[in-house]
Amino acid sequence: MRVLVVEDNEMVAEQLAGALREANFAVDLAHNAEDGYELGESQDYAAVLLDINLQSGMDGISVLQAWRKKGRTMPVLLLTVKDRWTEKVAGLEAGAHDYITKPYHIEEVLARVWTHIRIAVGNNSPELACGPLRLDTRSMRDILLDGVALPLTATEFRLLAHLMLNKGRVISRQELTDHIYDLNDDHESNTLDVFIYKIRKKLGDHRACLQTAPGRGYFLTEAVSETSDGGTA
Amino acid sequence: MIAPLRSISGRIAVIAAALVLVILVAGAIALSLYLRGVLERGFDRRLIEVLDGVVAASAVDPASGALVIDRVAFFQPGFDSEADDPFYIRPYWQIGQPGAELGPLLPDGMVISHVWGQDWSLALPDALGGELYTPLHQPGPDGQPLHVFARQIRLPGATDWVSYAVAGDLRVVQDEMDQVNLVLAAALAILALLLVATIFIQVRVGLRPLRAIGRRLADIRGGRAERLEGDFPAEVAGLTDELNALLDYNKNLIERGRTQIGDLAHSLKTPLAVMTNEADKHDQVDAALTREQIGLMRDQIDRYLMRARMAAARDLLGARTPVVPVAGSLKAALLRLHAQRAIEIEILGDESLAFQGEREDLSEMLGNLLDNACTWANARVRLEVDRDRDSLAVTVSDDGPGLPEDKRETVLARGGRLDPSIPGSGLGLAIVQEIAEAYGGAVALGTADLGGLRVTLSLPLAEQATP
Repeated sequence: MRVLVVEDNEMVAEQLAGALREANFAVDLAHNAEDGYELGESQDYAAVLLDINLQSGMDGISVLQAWRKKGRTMPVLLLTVKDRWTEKVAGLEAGAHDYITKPYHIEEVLARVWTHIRIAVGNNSPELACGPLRLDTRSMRDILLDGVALPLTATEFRLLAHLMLNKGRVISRQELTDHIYDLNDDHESNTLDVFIYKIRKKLGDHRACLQTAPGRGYFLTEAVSETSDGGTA
Repeated sequence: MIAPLRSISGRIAVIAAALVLVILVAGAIALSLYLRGVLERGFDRRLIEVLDGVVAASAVDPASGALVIDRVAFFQPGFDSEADDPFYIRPYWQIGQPGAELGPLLPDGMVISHVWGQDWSLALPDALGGELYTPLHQPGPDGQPLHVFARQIRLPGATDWVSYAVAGDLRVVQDEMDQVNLVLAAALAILALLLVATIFIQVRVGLRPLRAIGRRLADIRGGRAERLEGDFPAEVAGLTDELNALLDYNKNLIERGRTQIGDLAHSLKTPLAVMTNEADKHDQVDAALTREQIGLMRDQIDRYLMRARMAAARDLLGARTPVVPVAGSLKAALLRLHAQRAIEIEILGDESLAFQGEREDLSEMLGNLLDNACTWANARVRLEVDRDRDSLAVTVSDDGPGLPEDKRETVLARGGRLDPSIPGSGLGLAIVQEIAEAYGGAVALGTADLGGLRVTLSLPLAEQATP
């Protein structure tokens, strides 16, 4: 649930980042092509918002092509003021997943980011479901447990949403860390355990949905085992 | 050499000077050769006259049989004095028996004053047969270049042939020629200078109207004049007329641009006024209203941007863009954009059919139509390219809900949006229509075989490349 925004207009970048954070995303910002390329190349992002018309150095298309050449396959959404179809075709041919024309509605941007994150993990339905858990990616704000919104912090939301996106797959501690913190977060390795603990607590009776794979990581499962209250302290 | 060649007058002067130089030098050489020929012929005539004179003055004494020269007959006026001979030929002559060396020792009464020194004589061929010699070139005793004429005659009463020879020093002619050449060279040099100067002045004066145009253009740029006024010579009138036409065209263009900017500004002012009033009334602006007004402004900006581009591209109607490849790359892009919905895009038609216009404009029209179709389609979109008599027909259809007949007009109306929740649905078609009309084409709406909307674009067809 970590997103990279490469945009050299700082006001636009902050606006986008603010909206994304409000929608519970962890956000890294790059204000020029070089920083943007470095981050996209070295970090693991769920999606990237990339401005085409970067003033300094490379333009967005070149950055995108460089990532694709390096084998980076994360969803990339291009941002541009030009809405000519020839440009769109060029951007999509360079490996972009989507094309957003400025000025845009921020909700539309969020919806598209979510759509591409979903599609990237092979989930075609806008609603993520796992046992009693529901996440409607169109509204994005809440994860429902048996129809009731869970009172999650942003980090907890990201953690649980990432597990829901990849339900059934064991996610390593490293991958989880990569997806819940942005670069500015100061975190220690054991804080992940704290978040897992807190989420389990909020899941209450359904805590067994969130399983530990000892030594490998965590995963989410639909089948709630009957020994679910075994760990109640 | 570079500096004079940068100006027209410099170039013309250099070329003219080169030509004048070549022509005058060639002329001078020809004239000099001709004059030398004339002088030499005159010189030769004098020598022949002397030869004939000597022959006429000689006779055989009937008593002794010896050769005598009648001094009186020989020394005619013109031969006795150097001053009387215009050529200063001072001919040297000899008389003698054929075969013998024509030496200075001659029979009795012989005049030998015109024979060179004692130890030199002309060497003559043996049998001349009485012929008058064409000039025989021979070096003299001091190496002078000589012209020699000789005859052999049997005098009446004599039994033997007598050889006569006359020689003249050619340096006389050479001296004369040196004088002539000097005068000739001086005269031609002055002529050359005058010619080049005349040409230069002619060019300067002749090109004066061009300089005048330069000054007038500077006036126009400086705002002191609006057009190129004044009487110009016929040769530059075409240029000034074209410049005036260009100035008018530019002015027109700027005025059109100003009008459009004005229109755009006014069209943006209305939504701004609506929002300002709303803000004044309620302190807080209704978000829905703001969005709606911003949408209007955005549509206006898009429309004017498109117009600006079309205006720039209007003169490039010579371009030829095959339709199927453009549709193909759009298909790939659209499949990506609509990846979450399994939509199938079919492209049918002859690959060689081409649109007579810019690739970007075709891309814009087909992109908007296909995007619209993909947005509304359930699963299938079809693009067909066909030839309709002399024009190109591109049809885009989908299997979506289609459009009731009474709403079709609204969709094509300026910026009319049927479903504001789906962005660009109305404006897209309006833009397609505007581009198509700029190319003299048209857009028609109908019902597709697939069940949804069918949009038919009629566009100018580019002629096939001649086989």
